[in-house]
Amino acid sequence: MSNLLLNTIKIKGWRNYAGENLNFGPGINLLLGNNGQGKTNLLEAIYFLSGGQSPRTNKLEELIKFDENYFYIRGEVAVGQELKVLEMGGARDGRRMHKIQGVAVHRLSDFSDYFCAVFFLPEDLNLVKSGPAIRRRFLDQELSKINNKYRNSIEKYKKFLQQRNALLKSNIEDKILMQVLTNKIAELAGPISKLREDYIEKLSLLARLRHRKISGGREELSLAYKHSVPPGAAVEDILAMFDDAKEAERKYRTTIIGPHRDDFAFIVNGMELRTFGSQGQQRTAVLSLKLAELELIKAETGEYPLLLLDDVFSELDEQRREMLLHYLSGRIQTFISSSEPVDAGNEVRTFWIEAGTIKERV
Amino acid sequence: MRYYDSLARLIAQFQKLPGIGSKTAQRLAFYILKMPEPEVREFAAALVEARAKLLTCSVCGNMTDSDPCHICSDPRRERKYICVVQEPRDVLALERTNEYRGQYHVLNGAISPLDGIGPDELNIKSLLARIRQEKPEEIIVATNPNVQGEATAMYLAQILKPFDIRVTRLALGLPVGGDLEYADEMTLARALEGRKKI
Repeated sequence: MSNLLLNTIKIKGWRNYAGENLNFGPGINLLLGNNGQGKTNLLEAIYFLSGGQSPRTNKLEELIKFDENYFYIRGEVAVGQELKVLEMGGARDGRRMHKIQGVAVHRLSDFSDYFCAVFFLPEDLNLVKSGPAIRRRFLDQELSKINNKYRNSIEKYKKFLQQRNALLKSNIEDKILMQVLTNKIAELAGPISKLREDYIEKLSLLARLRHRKISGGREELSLAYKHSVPPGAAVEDILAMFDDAKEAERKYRTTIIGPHRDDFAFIVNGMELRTFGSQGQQRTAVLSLKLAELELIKAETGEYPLLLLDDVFSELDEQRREMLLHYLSGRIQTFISSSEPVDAGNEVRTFWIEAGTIKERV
Repeated sequence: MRYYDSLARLIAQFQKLPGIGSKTAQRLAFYILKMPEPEVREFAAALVEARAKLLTCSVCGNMTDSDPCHICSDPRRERKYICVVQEPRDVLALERTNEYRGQYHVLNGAISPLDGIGPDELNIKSLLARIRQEKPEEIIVATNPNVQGEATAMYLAQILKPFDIRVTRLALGLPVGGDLEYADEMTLARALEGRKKI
């Protein structure tokens, strides 16, 4: 079995870390420490290696330790028998460095060919709880990672949408121009909806299996796509929808049809989780979604990515914890951060984190 | 440090130019100061003269010093084709190919409601008048391959429909002399779409 392993990591000038060198185990790596000591920062550094992005910020400056001018991360990654060295760095003036095996690479997406991680942060609970914008962002991010065509289409769609909304708000009266922009939106909308439907269907299937296991068979989870435009609809049909919406568009002065109005719902035992679920159920559903993502990446790339669980493990009840560990063990290298001790079996490597220093507990 | 006033003013003038930051502006200013005085005079005169003689061609909308411009008034150029471009510098780019022997029409921009630019802000009315009068066989749309350029091209295709005239757009694809593996996916996909029989 070939799965992805992060053997070692070296971080310098990252967040609250001056410099650390760590060796990780192939199974579960437990990061313990009080609040504000740097547990999430370490998980973030690991995730950063997978594509030069942080779910917490877009600003390079925020990643650099307050008294340093640059950060540096070096990871040794094993895929089967192959070892790869990945390096990333960033400076206060905005310059970045990305190297694979010592060779500079220009496209960050190249990193995900060697190293891939799924990150579960407490704020991911918003995927269930918050409004649709965050779920659309999730769809766009995840689909863009695995499908270039989707990435190109959605980028183009957003640009044309901006232009069309600007036209609706402006006092430029031009029916032909409006028709041209509407045609373009309609052309792009059908395929985008189709790709989203396929993705949500696959994700739903995988999430249901995981959720069933974790909940001990008591809960049936599914994801329901709520589309604005029928997936794969013909351009003429979408144009007809725009025709019907003319009045409303004039009133609201914005585009009210298209994938930018999509959403999907988490449904457990027939009830929508957003309104009816308990905190624990919602958290388990997001966990199942993340595990489904893991399985999808495995299906796409042939290897399980790493799993990074920030402060969520302790929130699960005993039974759900055990089920999760059982699923992960021997299969997925996992990093779990927690402020209290966690009983995660014998094969665990434990690290104690205090004020930006990390020591392994033996 | 502070420069004496007229030097500071010269640097500030250079900094107004596109692509020139404070360091480059400084370098250019010092270079000018080292030039012999007659050359500086000629440099300044060239700036003023070019601006003073600037005209917009009443036929194609290109920048020129004679109306109509040297392309529109050249009898050797074909009348069958009109190539529509966004900016005068695009005419220069196409002229450098030495391939195209037709006419041009300069829109002076691209449609972008986001920037408040609608069709009326562009040189489109004169294009329609020209087509009615000159009856060309083909309109080649050479707007930029981005969202604004694409919207402009589609808009033109739409309003030119009643004229029953061939409307084409420049092909998108691989740069000549490059390596396939370095092309981005979007460009490569477009190149695949527009492949030709050999």
